[in-house]
Order: sequence, then structure tokens, then C-alpha cells
Amino acid sequence: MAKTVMIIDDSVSLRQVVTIALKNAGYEVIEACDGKDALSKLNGERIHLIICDVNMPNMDGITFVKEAKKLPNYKFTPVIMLTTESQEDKKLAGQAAGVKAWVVKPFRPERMITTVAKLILP
Amino acid sequence: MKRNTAAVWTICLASGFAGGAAILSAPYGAVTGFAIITSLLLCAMVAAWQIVRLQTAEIVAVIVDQRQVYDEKLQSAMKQRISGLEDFCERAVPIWTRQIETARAETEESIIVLTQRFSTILQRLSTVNTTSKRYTSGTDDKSDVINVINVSERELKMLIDTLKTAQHTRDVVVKEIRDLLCHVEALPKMATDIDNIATQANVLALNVAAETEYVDASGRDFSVMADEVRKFSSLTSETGKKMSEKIMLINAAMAKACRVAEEASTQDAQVIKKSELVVHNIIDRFGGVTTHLMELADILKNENIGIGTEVDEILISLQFQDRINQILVQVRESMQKMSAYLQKENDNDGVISRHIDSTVWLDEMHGDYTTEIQRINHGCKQMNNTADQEITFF
Repeated sequence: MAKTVMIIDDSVSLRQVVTIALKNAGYEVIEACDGKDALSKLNGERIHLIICDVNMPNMDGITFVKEAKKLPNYKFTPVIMLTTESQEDKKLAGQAAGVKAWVVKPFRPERMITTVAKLILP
Repeated sequence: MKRNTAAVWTICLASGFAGGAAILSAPYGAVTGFAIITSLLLCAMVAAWQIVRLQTAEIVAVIVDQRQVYDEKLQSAMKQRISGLEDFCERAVPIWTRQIETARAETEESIIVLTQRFSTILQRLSTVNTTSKRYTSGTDDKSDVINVINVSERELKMLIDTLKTAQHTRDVVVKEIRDLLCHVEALPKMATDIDNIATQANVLALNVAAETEYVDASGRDFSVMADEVRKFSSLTSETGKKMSEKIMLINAAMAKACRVAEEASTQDAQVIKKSELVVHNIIDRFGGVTTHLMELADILKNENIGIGTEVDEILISLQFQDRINQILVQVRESMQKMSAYLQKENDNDGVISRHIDSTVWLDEMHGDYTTEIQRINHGCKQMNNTADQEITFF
């Protein structure tokens, strides 16, 4: 059975690029446009990994990760931040929130897939 | 100035008259040159002091007048300049904001469409690659072209071998017929021998019959036996002749059959040789076409992979839109903030509060940046090389 990855980004084109790469690698994909939208879609569904942007309207990525980690079903779901931010303080904030990897845009799809394969839940 | 000079002269004259009156009123003996000089000096000092005071007052008045005029002009100019700038900004900033938003939205829409199309191309290339692999790599026995040709070649060779075996069997039969023909050739001689034996028996019978003329009645039975021998001899001779005739017919028929079989065998050999040549030619041609097809398939496969890689790179490049989007959104929001501020200050209708602390504004702008390039454009030094730190694991 294919594993499910959630991609959260306010950029439609970025979501498309990530979705194509993931689907080509055999993953199921759930899309969300911001943190609030993503939280509404975390309705107990089995999600093996989350890829999240940092700067988004309504709810930013770091806040989303903190909120998601409060939910029992997603406490141990690995999160990859995919963002243009490369500042150390932001990375440290992500690490403190429970993020497992920090990918700076623009990204190479094959490297993203390698990272996903490395971190995804069995 | 003339007015002031006249006043000075008036003061001097008054001082002179005062000095003269002082001399005339003094006792004669006391009137000395010292008193005269002192009076004159006193008059001069008073006159000079008055002159200086009047000149200073005049200069101060001029300065105050000029400052007042300057202040009025400056105030007027400041009012006009800020008022014009505000009006312009209030009207222009929303337009700039809309223009930026339009550019941002149109770029985003176009990039989304481009991304979708490139994604479709990528998926189609993937399908072509998969199909090409299936037909050329031999993973599917039924559709593998090379495998089909190889199997066909094997089957055709087997057919040729079967034909050759059949020809060989016919050759063996022909040889057997030929050997039999050699044996059959001896039969006419044997028939001739029988005929000779019959002739000699007949001669013997005639001699016996002639001799019986000289014997008595008791020997007449030999005459009967001689007749029987002669009849038997005739019958044997006829049978020998018939055998000879039949053998000749059989011999001719077998010779003909053997000749026909040899001709057929020769023709079969030629047909097999020709068929073998045709089969080899066909297989060679198929092989050539297949090799060419394989080369083309390899080229197409490599080209597909190359195009796929190019499309991958394009999809990476198209991510620029996300960065552009963030930069434009920040600029738009910053301009909207400035517009709102100017609007608020205009509503206050005050002059003194019309001050923008550029440092505070620039710091706020800096805090809104989300990309390294925005910070560099702002004037900050490059902190790190993001290309080297694309992925960080915690």
C-alpha cells in the first residue's frame, strides 16, 4: 500500500512540483494551502510524513508543526520544512518545534525524494 | 540709512552745543585746554555710542525681517511639498500595489499552467520510456521484438533441417532402388539361361524321339516321354521369354522411377538450398531492420531520458516564481502599510506629527523578508551560501 505524504505550501506551483515528484516515486499526496487548512485535513487520516513551508498566510509553518505535534495521531509524524528561509534562527525554531529536516528552495526533486525515503515512517 | 545718519549728526551737534555751554558756564581761569579737549572727547564718545547703537538696532531689525520672510517661505514650501507628496502617494501607492499584484498573479497563473504542462510532458515521457523498455529489453516474451525474431529464426532453421532430413530419406530410398535395379538387371540373364536350358532340353527331346525309331515296341514309351519333355521345354522357353519381357518392363519402370526420384531429389535439394538462402536473407534483413530499430529505440530512449532531465531542470527553475511571489508580496504589503500610514497622518491634519522614522520603517521591512536575496538587496551582507546547505537534518 502506498504511503501518504502531506504537502503544505501557499504556492500552487510549488505544491504541483512536489506532488509530481512524490507521485512519480509512488506516494499518495494530500495538499494543503496553509497551516490552518492542513490542520483541518489532519482528521485522523494516516499520514506518514509532512512537508511544510514556513511563511504562509493564516498560519505559518512553525506554528502548524507545534499544533500538529499536540495531536496524538501526528505526534511522531516526521516533518520536513521546505522554505526559502535559510537563517539559522529560523532553523533553530523549526528544530525546537520538532522538525526533522530543513530543505531550502529551490530544491531538486530527486533529493527531496531521497530525504522523504530516509525520514518516512515505516 | 539717511534717516539714521541725520539722527547721528543731530546727536553730535547737540553734544557740541552741550560742550560749548559747559565751557561758557565754567570760570575763565578754570577754562583750560584740558577742559575743552575733555568736552570734545565726551561729545565724540557720546556721538559714537549713539551711532553704534543705532546701527546695531538697524542690523538686528533687518535680520529679524529676513528670518521672518525666510520662515514664512520655508513653512509655505514645506507645506506644499508634503501635501503634494502625500496626495501623490495616496493615489499612486494603491495603483503600484495593484500593478504589482496583477504582475504577481499573472506570473503565478502562467507558472501554474507551465508546471502542469511540463508535468504532463514528464508523465508522457515516462510512459514512452516504460513502453520502449518493455519492447526492447525482453521483459515481456510476447512483445519483445528481438525475442520474436530469434524464435522465428530458430523455427525456420528447424524447418530447413526437417526438409533436409526428408531429402536425405528420399536419397536413401533412391539408393535402395538403385541397388535393387542392379539385382533386377541379373534377372534377364537368368531368363535367357532358362530359355537356353529349355532349347537344349528340346534338342535332347528331339534326339530321344529320333532314337526311338530304332527301338522295339517296349521302347516306345521313351517316345512319349520325349514328347512330354519337348512340350515341357517349349513351355519353359515361353515362360522364360515372358519372364524376360516382364523383367524388362519392371526394369524400365524401376529405371524410370529411379530417374524421376533422382530428378525430384535434385530439385528438392535446389529448392531447399534456395529456401535456405531465402530464409537466411529474410532473417538477415529482419536482423538488420531490428538492429536499426534497436539503435533507434536506444536513441529515442536516451533522448527521452535527456528530455525528462531537461523538464526536471525546468521544473526546478520554475520554482523562481515562489521567490518572486514572496518578494512582490513583501513590497506590496510594505507599500500598503506606507499608504495607510500617510492616510492616517493626513486625517490627523497636523504638521508636527508628519515625521517618518526611516530607521524604524526599514527595520520593520527587514523583519518581513523571507529570502536571503531580499536581505542582500536591503544592504545586508550575505550570511551563508544556501546552495551548499540545501538540506539540513536535525
